Amino acid sequence: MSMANGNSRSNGNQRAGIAVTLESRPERRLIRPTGSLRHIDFCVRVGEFAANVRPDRTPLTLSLVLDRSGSMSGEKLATAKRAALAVLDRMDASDRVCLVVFDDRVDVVQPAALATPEIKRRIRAELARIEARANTALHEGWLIGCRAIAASETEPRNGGVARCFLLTDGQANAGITDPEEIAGEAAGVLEHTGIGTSTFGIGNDYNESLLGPMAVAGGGQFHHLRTAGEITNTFVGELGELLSVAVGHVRLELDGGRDITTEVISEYWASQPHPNASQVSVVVGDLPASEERHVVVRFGFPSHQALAERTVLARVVWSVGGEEHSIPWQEMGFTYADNRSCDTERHERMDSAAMHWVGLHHAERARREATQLSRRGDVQGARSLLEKVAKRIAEYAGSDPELQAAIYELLSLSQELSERPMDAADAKERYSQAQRRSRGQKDFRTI
Amino acid sequence: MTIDSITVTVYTPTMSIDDRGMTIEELADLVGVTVRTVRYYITEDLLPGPGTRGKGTIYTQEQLLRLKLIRVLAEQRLPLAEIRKRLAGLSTRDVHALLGEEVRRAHEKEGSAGAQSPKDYISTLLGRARSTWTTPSPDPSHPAAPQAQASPDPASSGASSQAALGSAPGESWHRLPLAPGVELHVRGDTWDRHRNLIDQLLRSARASGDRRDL
Repeated sequence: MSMANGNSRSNGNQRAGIAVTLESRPERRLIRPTGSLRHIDFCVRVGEFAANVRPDRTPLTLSLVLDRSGSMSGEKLATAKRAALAVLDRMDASDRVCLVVFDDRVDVVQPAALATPEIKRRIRAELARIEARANTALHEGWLIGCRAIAASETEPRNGGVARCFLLTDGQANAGITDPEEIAGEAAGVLEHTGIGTSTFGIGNDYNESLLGPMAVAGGGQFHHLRTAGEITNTFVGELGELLSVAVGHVRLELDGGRDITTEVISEYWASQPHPNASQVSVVVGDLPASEERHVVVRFGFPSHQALAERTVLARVVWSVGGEEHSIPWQEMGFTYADNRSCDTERHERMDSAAMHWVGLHHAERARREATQLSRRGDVQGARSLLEKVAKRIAEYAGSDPELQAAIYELLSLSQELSERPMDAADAKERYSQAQRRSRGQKDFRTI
Repeated sequence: MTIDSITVTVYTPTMSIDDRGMTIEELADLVGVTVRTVRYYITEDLLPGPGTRGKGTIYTQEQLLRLKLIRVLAEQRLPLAEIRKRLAGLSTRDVHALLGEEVRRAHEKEGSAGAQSPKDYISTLLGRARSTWTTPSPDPSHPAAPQAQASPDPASSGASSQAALGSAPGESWHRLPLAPGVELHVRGDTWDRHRNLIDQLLRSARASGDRRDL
């Protein structure tokens, strides 16, 4: 295990120093001569503020992008409006807000402006006039919502948080509709403009395979709303998180070298910042104080003929007050050894704390993937995946109660699928739950 | 039979550079410099020598990393004396970390030279999206929904019925009837860019209409 501490520093009377630490736990250290896959659990922790310090709240820039397509008519749109008002009431004049509505047209109802009483009055009046209409230009609506924030900034945001809340009940059926392409754009918008994206899907008709990855790539959270009544709780809940962000744009950077493969098991967006380099950057998101996130990564070591050492490097990078900070690179060493030594390590010296998170995150990934397979009609494939992963976790779960519970959940789901296919509501609920648990995020619907 | 006292190095196809080390040619090739440059850096005490001489001399990962770092710093036009000073006393770990920082800094510098503002970046994405925008299914209740018009013969090349629609503030759209009840909508500012596509669609609609009449 390696630990490295880094401290961010505030400017003037803004945020006090807050510690960010990275704890890296490899499951094992030995590699077989024919090559091996090895997991590392990376735990990113944000410390607490000093006891006698009350830091200024980070100013927030929020774009509310609401679907007003025909299917949102009635209670859904009415509740979306109430949720928008609830969010507005909790913002103050140091924050910025804008309102965008879309069906097959996109209208910027209120360009980004400071949330003064006058602007709030204007937004309330405009919301009252909005009615449900036509098809769903979701992609364009989202981009215009992000651009409205970007266009309002004549000065650098000075480290504030910027987020777009996208609420929809439907599919993207106008403009660009490919989920992977849209998720890639969400990652690009976050990287190039600092504007994150959170998505809110209501009902049973939206595409969770679009909204989920959009939020992951955008560094935000995906919320599945079962009823219109849950809109307000999730809007207000996520707003509360944004208003208490202590460190922003947290990224885990990894470097295993040219011929080592890097696969992120947990539900985080990973990219290669420089095409010909071996570094991988994992978007963790904006984090409040006293928070921790686990990122499980699987590294593939190639085969070797002679004994040799291999090293994986890791560090955390984040922003506070517009300045970027990082901790020094940590090194994790791995050694090629004969099969007998590797077997002994496997049976006697595996890191159980690391395997706890490895197992949990593999279980969540299996649930997400099985949900998608089932929705595509491949029930047999879904069951096979669930049972395979359950069996693998059982090999190292021991008496870990959470891992045993995860195994039970996987096998139960497989059994349920054998009895009846997963319906849309169930699929969305399972998908969103698996994503939320993998990312260590809260369920605001019932808070 | 006795074993010869001369050490023989055996190379197997599966052994990588990490195991057997590199020749000076391989080292130079990996970093994109000439063998002569590598020897020069060794002479200038920037790069530690291999320890042995002659054919078959081996260079290690450590030397590879140092050479990469030397090249990155040299590309920043740092004098050799400055590079020597920066590398003095660095461990392999330090060299690796510094190399990563310098590569990142170099890429950021390249990126910022042509960087767009956040607003322009998003506008570029929007522009791309709108160039692939497909006609949504018409909604008679939509204020901007097209009104029914008598359709001219789409077989008349270039003689298409056009009407500007105010779909979004400042935008105009052209309506091209393809068949009774079927229209193609083209945004005014994209007309020239997609002229070939528009012509193809019109020809295809004409051909389809001809077949129906048979």
